Amino acid sequence: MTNYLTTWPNETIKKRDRLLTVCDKALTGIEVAIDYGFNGHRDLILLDKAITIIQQRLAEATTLLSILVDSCDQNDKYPLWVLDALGLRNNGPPDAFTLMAENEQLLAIIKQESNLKWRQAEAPKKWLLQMQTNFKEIKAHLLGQRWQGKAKPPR
Amino acid sequence: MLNDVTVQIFLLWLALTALSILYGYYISLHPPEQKDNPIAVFWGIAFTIILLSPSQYLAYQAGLTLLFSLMLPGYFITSLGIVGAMWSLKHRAEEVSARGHQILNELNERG
Repeated sequence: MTNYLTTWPNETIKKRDRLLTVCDKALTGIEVAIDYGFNGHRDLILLDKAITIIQQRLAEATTLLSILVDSCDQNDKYPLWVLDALGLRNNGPPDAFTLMAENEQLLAIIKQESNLKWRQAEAPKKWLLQMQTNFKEIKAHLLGQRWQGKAKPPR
Repeated sequence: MLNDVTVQIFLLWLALTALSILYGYYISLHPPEQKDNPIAVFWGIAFTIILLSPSQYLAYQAGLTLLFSLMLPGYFITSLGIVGAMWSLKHRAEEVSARGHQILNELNERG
C-alpha cells in the first residue's frame, strides 16, 4: 500500500507529529485521572491537576490542528488524512475538529462536576473514557488509519 | 452453665457484631473522599457503639457480669478493626495517588 504521507512536505509531517505528541500528553493526563484519581478514593487534587493538563493540551491540540490544516492547503490538494480530519468523506467517522469540540464540552462538564466534589464517581469516569476514545480517534485520523482499505477521498 | 437469657443476649451480640463488620466491609468497598476519612472513622466507631451497646446493656441489666466483661474485648476489637481498615485504606489510596502525582509532575516538566 502506498504511504501517501511520504509525499507530503516534511514540515507538515513535523507539525502532525507535534500534534500527535500533544494528543499523547493529553491521553496520559486522562489515563492518570482514570487510573489514579478514582483508585481507593477520589483524590481531588490529583484530578484537578490532571484536568488542568488535559485542558492545556486540548487547547494546544485544537490550535495545532487548525495550523496544520491551513498549512496543508496547496492548490486545494490535501493529504487523505487531512480530508478525513476535516470530515470531507461521505459517511465517514466524526472529523477531528468535531471530536476536539466534543472533548471541550466533556471537559467543561467534568470541571462543573468537580465543583460538586465528584460525589458520583462513575459519571466523570465515563466522560473521561469518552475523551480518551475521542483522542485515540483523532490520532487515528492523523495517522491516516481511517482511510486504509476504504473509499477514496472526494475529488 | 449458660441460661436462656445469656444465650439470647450472646446471639444478639454476635448478630450486631456481624453487622458492624459488614459495615466496615461496606465502607472498604465504597471509600469516602480523602477529606471525609476521619468523619467515616468517627461514624464507624459510633455505629459499632450504637449497635453493640444494647446487648451489653441487657447483659448488665440481667446481672450477667461475666458475659458483660467478655463482650468488652470484642467490642473494642470491632471498633479498632473498623478504624484500622479505614487507615489502611487511606494509606493504600495515598500510595496510589502519589504515583499519579509523580506521573503528572513528569508530564508537566516535559512541557
